[in-house]
Amino acid sequence: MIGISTIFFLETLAYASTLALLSLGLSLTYTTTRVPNFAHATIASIGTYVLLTVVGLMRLRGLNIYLYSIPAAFITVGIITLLQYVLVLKPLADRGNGLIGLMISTLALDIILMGVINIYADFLLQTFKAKKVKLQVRDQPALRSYDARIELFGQNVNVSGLVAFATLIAVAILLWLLLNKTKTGIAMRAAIENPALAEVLGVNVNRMYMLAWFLAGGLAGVGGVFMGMVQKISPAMGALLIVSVFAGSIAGGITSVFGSMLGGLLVGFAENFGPYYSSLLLNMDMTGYDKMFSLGIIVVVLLLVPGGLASLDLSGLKKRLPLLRAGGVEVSGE
Amino acid sequence: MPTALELVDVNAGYGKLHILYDISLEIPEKEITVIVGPNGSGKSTLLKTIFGLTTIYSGDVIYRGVNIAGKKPHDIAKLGIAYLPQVGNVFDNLTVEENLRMAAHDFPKTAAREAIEEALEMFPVLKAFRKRKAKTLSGGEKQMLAMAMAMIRKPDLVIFDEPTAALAPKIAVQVLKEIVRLRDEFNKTIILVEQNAKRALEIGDKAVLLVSGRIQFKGGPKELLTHPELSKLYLGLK
Ligand SMILES: Nc1ncnc2c1ncn2[C@@H]1O[C@H](COP(=O)(O)OP(=O)(O)OP(=O)(O)O)[C@@H](O)[C@H]1O
Ligand SMILES: [Mg+2]
Repeated sequence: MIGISTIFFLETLAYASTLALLSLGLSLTYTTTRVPNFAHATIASIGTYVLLTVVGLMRLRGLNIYLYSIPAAFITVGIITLLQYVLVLKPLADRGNGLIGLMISTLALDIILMGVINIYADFLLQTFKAKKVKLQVRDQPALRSYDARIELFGQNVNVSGLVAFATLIAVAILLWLLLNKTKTGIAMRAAIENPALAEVLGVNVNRMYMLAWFLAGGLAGVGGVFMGMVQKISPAMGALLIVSVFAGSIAGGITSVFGSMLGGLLVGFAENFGPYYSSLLLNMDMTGYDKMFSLGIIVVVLLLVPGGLASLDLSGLKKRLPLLRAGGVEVSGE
Repeated sequence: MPTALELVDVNAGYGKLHILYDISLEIPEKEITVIVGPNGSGKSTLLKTIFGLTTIYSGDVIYRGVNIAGKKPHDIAKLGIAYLPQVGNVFDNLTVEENLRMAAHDFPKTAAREAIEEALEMFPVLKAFRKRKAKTLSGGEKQMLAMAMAMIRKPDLVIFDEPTAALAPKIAVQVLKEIVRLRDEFNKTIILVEQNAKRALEIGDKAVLLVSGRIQFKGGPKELLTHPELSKLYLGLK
């Protein structure tokens, strides 16, 4: 990589994969209820605290960290997000609240959750003290040193970036299979596209939405695990992240799950590499300007492709490719 | 003919917006009941009310002796009632095959496959489009797909909301023929809302005229077609 250390690249990969996991979940929930969930990043930081809890109490090191914390975070955060839908959004929507009301409820939940995470952090601190676990619960940077390490391009590096990216790829494949090959997945797509018709055909649309919220939350929790492995942990970390998550979703075309995943990756890389290269180029410190790059990406993508990355229509290209290869453009049958 | 579905003094609407007033209506079995009326008179709302898609303030909707008022649409769908909405009656972003699989989503695997093949036999035009997204179909083809999806569920009662809207006259006639075939060959009970009152009343066994959310006329289609005032006032016929 041009001028970039392997370590910096891998940390960026972890960050970008995290964003991708969050952006795709944000889109999944948005397509069901049409409400942008402003609590989505704080919900992910619950996953970070699940990680901290699991690592501290089970005294995990290396790959075992991922083995235990990923399923634990997926389930815990999935359930919490499901409860957000069932206990907050659904009842409010059923009482006839519009977009604004629902949106504000997600902001309110964000603030409440941040408070709860702080309380939990205190509780965790006491527990760690009692059990003589040497981990901080705020501004905790130490989990990096617990990570498994491998030799890559002659350097000894943490595996978090590779695990995060591999997880993202696995999630993408599983999600694609779920949505395209299973009855439940097709029913979910149907419920998202045309809820009334899905109901009429016997689909319990509410149950599909519950599943979507659970999955989105679970994936955010997994993202939280990777956040915790590369960043300083603090209860407010979600607040810093939410702008980038939205940037990823919007750049990807907010209603497309896979577009948002790509958008999240793109934004993640831009936020790290943008300041780095521009610092070199301009010969000044640009490190504080990372969000400028994610927001810049939204502007550029939306100017070029107003519907977001997902609206790029590649089917026309696919049809034309054989003709181009054959060297001549013929009038096709359609 | 025995009654398949009965509405008793139904008042319904959207949230607090009251649309239907004191609707009492019997739908006879294995017949085509045609509902006509001016735009905005509440025809679609009436169909949605049967299917649990509106708020029912009072009254009963009785299907085969069971009151289904207040039931969820996905539960009503399991009772053998199919409903083809006026708009959005197929999933545009799913392929024809996925649409059909969707209609059979709660069937066991082999039963689903058989039902899909049967539906394709009923509407053979669809066979050529299996892999195409529904949004690329013509209006008439979409209507056939919607009917095939409804038939997959082997309903006894089929509710159509303006199935010929936006179709060329020739194709509209074809769709209406299919509906007659559903009654005659497959013994289905049918409720049909139609914009083109004359065409629909000609194939119907019973007619209902809805005006401003109230029933203005119930009886034979011929009677309505030849009614001196009603046909002129509300159906645009001379
Ligand atoms: N989802 C809805 N929410 C609120 N009001 C609605 C809704 N759908 C329809 N209405 C209102 O209910 C009334 C009856 O509408 P409905 O669609 O039942 O009429 P219709 O007889 O089917 O008309 P058309 O012939 O144009 O299809 C109209 O005043 C309409 O504005
Ligand atoms: Mg209508």
